[in-house]
Amino acid sequence: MIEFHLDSRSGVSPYLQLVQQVRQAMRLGLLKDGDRLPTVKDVVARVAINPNTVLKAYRELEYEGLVQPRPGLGTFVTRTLGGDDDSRAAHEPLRQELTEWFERARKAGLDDEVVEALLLSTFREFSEERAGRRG
Amino acid sequence: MIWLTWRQFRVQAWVIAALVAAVVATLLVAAPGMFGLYRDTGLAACTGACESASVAFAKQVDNGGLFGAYLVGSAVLLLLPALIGVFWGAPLVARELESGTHRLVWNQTVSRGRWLTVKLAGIGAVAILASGLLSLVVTWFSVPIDRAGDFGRVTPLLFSSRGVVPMGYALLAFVGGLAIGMLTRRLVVAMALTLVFVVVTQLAAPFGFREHLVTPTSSSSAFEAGRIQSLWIDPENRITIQLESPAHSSWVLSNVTVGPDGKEYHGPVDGTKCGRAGGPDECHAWLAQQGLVSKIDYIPAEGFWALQWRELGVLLVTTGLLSAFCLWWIRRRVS
Amino acid sequence: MSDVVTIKGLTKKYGRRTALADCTLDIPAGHVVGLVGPNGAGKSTLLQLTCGLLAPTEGAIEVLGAAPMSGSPRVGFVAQDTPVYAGLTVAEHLRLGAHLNPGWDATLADGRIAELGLDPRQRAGKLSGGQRAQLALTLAIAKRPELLLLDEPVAALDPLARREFLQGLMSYAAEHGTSVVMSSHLVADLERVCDYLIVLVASRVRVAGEVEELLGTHHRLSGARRDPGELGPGRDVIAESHTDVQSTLVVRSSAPIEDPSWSVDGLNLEDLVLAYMSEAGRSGRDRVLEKR
Repeated sequence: MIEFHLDSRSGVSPYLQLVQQVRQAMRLGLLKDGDRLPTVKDVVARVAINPNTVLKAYRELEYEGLVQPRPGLGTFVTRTLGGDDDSRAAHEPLRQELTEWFERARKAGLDDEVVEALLLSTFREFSEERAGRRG
Repeated sequence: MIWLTWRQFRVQAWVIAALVAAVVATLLVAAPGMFGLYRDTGLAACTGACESASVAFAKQVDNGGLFGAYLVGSAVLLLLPALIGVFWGAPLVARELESGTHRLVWNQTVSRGRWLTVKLAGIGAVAILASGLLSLVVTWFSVPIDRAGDFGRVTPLLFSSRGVVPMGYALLAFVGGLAIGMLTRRLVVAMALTLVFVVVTQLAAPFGFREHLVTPTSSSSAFEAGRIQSLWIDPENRITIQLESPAHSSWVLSNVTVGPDGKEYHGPVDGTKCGRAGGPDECHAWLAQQGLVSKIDYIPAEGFWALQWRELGVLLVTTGLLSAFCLWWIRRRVS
Repeated sequence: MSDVVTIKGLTKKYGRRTALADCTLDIPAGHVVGLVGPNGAGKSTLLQLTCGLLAPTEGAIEVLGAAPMSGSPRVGFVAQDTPVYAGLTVAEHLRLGAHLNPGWDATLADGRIAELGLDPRQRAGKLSGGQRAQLALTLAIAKRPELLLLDEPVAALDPLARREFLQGLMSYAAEHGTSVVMSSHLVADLERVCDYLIVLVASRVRVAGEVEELLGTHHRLSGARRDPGELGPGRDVIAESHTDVQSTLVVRSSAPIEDPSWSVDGLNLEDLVLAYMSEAGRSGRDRVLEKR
């Protein structure tokens, strides 16, 4: 079982925050196939959030094929995301390259803030280009 | 609703109940002494004028605090409407409005009309019970004193603390306090205004409407020196004379002595007979020759119960109208 | 879905002061509705008209298909400052509720009091603000209303008590599907718990709608200074501010804004509410600009 939390300053809508937290938990292996998500009432009582928001988040996850509601029992995770050892092994070379890149950046005299900005802006440009090519 | 009414009311109820119980107990303890004296002085068995028995009774009644008990009983009975109005009536709605709890209770499944009706009826009944019981005991305890005393119980001084009208005053004070609290919406203001209201109603009766409730008896009799109640000559030599009422212990509404011309007699006085020069006997004899007639309007002691019931009727009708107004107002105007 | 509240041309005046002016509004069922606006905007008046504590001066209001009447079993109300009887204990409040409400849910009431850790023998006058609010909420929900109205229930509470109150409220709403209308001037709280929003400013309804839809149709535009009248039809300018070189607008538009000379951002709920509130305070000059 996982616990939700809301960041009211993030600018991300509450329902999306819930969706992201479930996905993240699945990626980190905290939620596996067959695990139950907290009931709407539990989430609402813990986070003080509108029940429709929770329902909407669960519907979104269901639409993505990550969870499935079983009437009377709750909502259950139906897949395991990238948290298993195989996928972690597959990510390993990429992680190595990124670590090497960080070392080079540090040698070039870039501080944390600049590194982060560079990473984010490059990632954004790359995503936009891909989106542009597709559209 | 009845449970809630009682729960919110019980402290005030116990305080006043304790007061009434204390007074009743005092009078009951004093009663054997009072009625023993009434019997022993012969006043109880006496019929007619009973001058000597009355005097004997009056002389001894102050011994052993009998008269003190009587005064306390009458005073508390006169004070009871004010206490009921100020501590039962005024806070009933005013306190809810002031603390905002009316928004709590009126949003339970109970209409405002029913909420107020239960409170009016429930506490009104307790008010009648308390004042009725006290009045019963005080009226009974006062019988010997009322007979021996100069004042009859039909006179304004005693009328409001005898018989059935104390119940009417208590009820009117309660509903009046409630209405004032509802209109002012402030507890302290409502309590102060209620006190004024109760005093005004208790004064309005003897000085306003009471004498119109029964037809007074009118008497007209020739001047008799032996019946002179007061005789007064002012510096301008104007004389004013009042004779005693022909009926003992009656409530005198008007008392004038008129001359032969039919107008109130003011002299002129013969200075050699009346006044500084002459003695009282000479003056009385002179006055007897002036053809004076005493005209007195009064309500006799026998009219006591008729007046009691009629005044109670007036008070109850007023209370009823006031209650109807409260019920209308609370449904329409209060939030 | 049907409407729990239907209001047409509703006006309430206290003497010569207008507390609510010509308000027309439908509140759909099954929502947690936030009623926001500055103090004195008429939120309390609207809620008290809805629960029947006040009668309208003009106009019509229907609640659950009938004229509102205080003492209805179908509407629960938690008044401003959450009044309770200071001299009565917690248990006596529950007894009061049980005596006065035929539909009283004793299990729910007792369960909530136990869960909150309130001592039933405690006098309500000695409870903390948060506990008092919880007691008032318990009384309102244990009568099992179909519509629950709350007037600034958390305004006077500290953050922890506020959170606990909203947790209780939301878990009740989740379990029973009760429609809730709650007024507040704390937009941050409403952002979490409300999925429908009504903005009331200066005794008028400025905007009402589902939160998602409101957030989707309001945009913040910034660009070189220009007249907002050029935006074209179907775009309402809610708020605008100008410097000598730049214009910043808050615009309501269901269609996306594709003019590349504007940079377009989304708004969060707080910005949206503030935009509507500041709209009311705009000066005469700006209003002329808007008309043109």
